[in-house]
Amino acid sequence: MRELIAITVNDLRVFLQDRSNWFFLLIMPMVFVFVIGAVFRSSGGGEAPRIRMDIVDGDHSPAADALIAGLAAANPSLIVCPYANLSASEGENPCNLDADQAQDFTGELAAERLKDGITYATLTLPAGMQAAMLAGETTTLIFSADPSLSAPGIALQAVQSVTTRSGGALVAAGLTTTAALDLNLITEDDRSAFFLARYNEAEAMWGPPPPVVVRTEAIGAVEEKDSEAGFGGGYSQSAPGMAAMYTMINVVGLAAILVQERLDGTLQRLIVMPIRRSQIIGGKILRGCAVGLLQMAIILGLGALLGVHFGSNPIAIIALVLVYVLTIAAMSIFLATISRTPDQATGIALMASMALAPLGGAWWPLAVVPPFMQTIGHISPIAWFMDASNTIIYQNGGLADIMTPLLVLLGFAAVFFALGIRRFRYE
Amino acid sequence: MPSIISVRDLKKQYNPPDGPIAVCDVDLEIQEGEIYSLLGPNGAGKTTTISMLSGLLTPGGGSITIGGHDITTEAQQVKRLIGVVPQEIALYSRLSARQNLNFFGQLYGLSGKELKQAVEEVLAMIDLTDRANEKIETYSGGMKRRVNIAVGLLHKPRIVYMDEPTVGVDPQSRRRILDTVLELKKQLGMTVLYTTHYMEEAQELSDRVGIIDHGEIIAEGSTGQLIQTVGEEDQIQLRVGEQEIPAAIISQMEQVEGVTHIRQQDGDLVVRATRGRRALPALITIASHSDVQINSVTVKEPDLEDVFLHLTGRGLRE
Ligand SMILES: Nc1ncnc2c1ncn2[C@@H]1O[C@H](COP(=O)(O)OP(=O)(O)OP(=O)(O)O)[C@@H](O)[C@H]1O
Ligand SMILES: [Mg+2]
Repeated sequence: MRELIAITVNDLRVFLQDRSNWFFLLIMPMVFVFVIGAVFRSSGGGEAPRIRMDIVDGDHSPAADALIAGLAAANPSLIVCPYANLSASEGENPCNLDADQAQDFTGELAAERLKDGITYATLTLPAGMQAAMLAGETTTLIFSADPSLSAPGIALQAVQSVTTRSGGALVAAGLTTTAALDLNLITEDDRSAFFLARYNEAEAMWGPPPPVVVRTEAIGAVEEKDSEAGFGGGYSQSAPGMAAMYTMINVVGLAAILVQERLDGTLQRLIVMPIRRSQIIGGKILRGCAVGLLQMAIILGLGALLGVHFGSNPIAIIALVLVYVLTIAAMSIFLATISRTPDQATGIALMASMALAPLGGAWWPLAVVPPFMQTIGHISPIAWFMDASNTIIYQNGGLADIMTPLLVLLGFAAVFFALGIRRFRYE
Repeated sequence: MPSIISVRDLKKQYNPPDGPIAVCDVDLEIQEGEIYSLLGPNGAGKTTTISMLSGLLTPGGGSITIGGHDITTEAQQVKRLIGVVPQEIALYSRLSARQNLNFFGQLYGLSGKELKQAVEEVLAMIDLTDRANEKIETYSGGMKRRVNIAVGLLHKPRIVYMDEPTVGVDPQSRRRILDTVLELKKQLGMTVLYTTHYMEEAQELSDRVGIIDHGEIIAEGSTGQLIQTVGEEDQIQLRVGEQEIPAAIISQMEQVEGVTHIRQQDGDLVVRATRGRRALPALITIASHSDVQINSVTVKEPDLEDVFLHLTGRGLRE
């Protein structure tokens, strides 16, 4: 272990001795965070984007109210209109509606707002929705959005997660109600009230909804520039995006140093010392992780300074960063096995990063690209990193919510380690 | 006493089955405290042998036992016993000499005071204490070589391998390196396995020399023993230029006491003679009496170069 640490520390020293590395570690990514952040920023701050979604409630039932409340709680980035206005404090107008419009919100108004870009999506709850639910029939909620925008993706996600939840609760409530009827515990007259009570219980059993993060500044900012409502992306896009890309550039680029060490003979020198090969390669991997963590800390730290809110689950973001950095360190070892010269390694690292970063949504949200490109994009580890980071930033996701991207990234790491360590040559 | 390095039938072929056979049935028995040189031209298989003896290359056949440990089954024990000075400079050029030594010292298990002391000692030994904090990349070739050597000596190994440690250095650094090797033996009783293609170095340093060519050890022994195989004759070169030397004069010279053989080669009369210095005045007298002009005279005692020439028909550096 001591030897492993000695190797890691020495390798880090070699890396940090080189001034040009600092340029790629510090200056370049910072510039990019600002530039790309500015492109996606529509409001003054770097706060989490707020997306307006209009709800046309044709049912006005307790079930509809429950659904709307669920939506409002599902994602702090989502402004559910016109209800957000009704619960907003005096003088605030998160939905950009006047009082009359909010009181008497119509489908026509919603359609117009969507067309004008004041909202990003409209969800219509049809009349008779609760009745259908009670009867155990399928209800169709109509979700409309401008597909060229990224924001509806987030709105749709919220709707889907809430309806899935509601769906689960509905099944539970339906089953218990039927059972209660069969057992004559309740009469047909009690059916509706009993069902709703069970539904609410089941809903509650999903656990508390994610805490609502109140950001009055964001709402204020939206007010100022209300025609460009909502989704700013800004640093919430550029900080994780550039952190992912530059971690890849810098850590995968370490393969060049490794190849150089093989040419210089220092790697061979290590082999004739009384240490195990696993300690040598372990040290190289640890160095990759350390540089990656440094890069992540620099850029995500900058993001935090600029107001990006990385959710309220530090475990989630820490796990994501660790897993991603490990994946990239594995890629670096793999690259070192296939490169003959340092220049070749640097070239491949840069080219791969420059291809995988935009593909994986580091430069712009993947939600803005056509679905097939989103699918293709997921060959890039960065896509999985961005998925998880979006879940954390926009939906206040926890460890459980990012499990899929984490596991996929670990899969990448396993494959690259398996290929890299087996093929690694010391001479 | 059992040998500290014992090698039997060592073989290595690169990229079998068609690659070059770099080492072929090498046997070595080296005693503790001995300086043993492998002398051979470029491509003879010196580095390949050292690499197998240090655990860097897997032998293609045969056995290697060092300090009683088999290198394939007890590699870690062997590695603790040895210090290796590779032929190519293997250092972190962006770091200073002291940083390099500190790092490698840690890998040899040194730490704290012990490490600090070991580093200072080797720095003094290679005479680089004043410049120890400068980056390796700012050093001259000779200074780099000296640091390269120092790394192999840090942990005071019982055995040190030095693979052509003087290649490409100025005479001063070279002298310094040779003195260091002699000190290692004298003061620390280290066993040194030294490779070179400079016969002067092998001759000066070694208790025993193994002459290696095409992967085989073709002769072995002390310098004196090896030279005896070509006879004790000196070689006298009389530079005569383009002059015609009458056959009568040559046969007259052959009568001089001690002279065994004379030939004319590249403007020289090459005379072989036991105790050449004694024969020299007579040879010159003969020449001057017959108007043969001698521009210069060289007397060369036989050396390992002659041994190599005798064994292979080639020079060491061609
Ligand atoms: N990695 C390799 N792959 C293939 N052939 C090699 C390799 N290394 C050495 N050889 C060949 O093996 C033979 C012995 O090489 P080696 O380096 O051991 O010689 P050497 O005595 O150390 O020479 P030098 O004085 O030039 O260092 C040479 O013919 C060389 O071309
Ligand atoms: Mg060599």
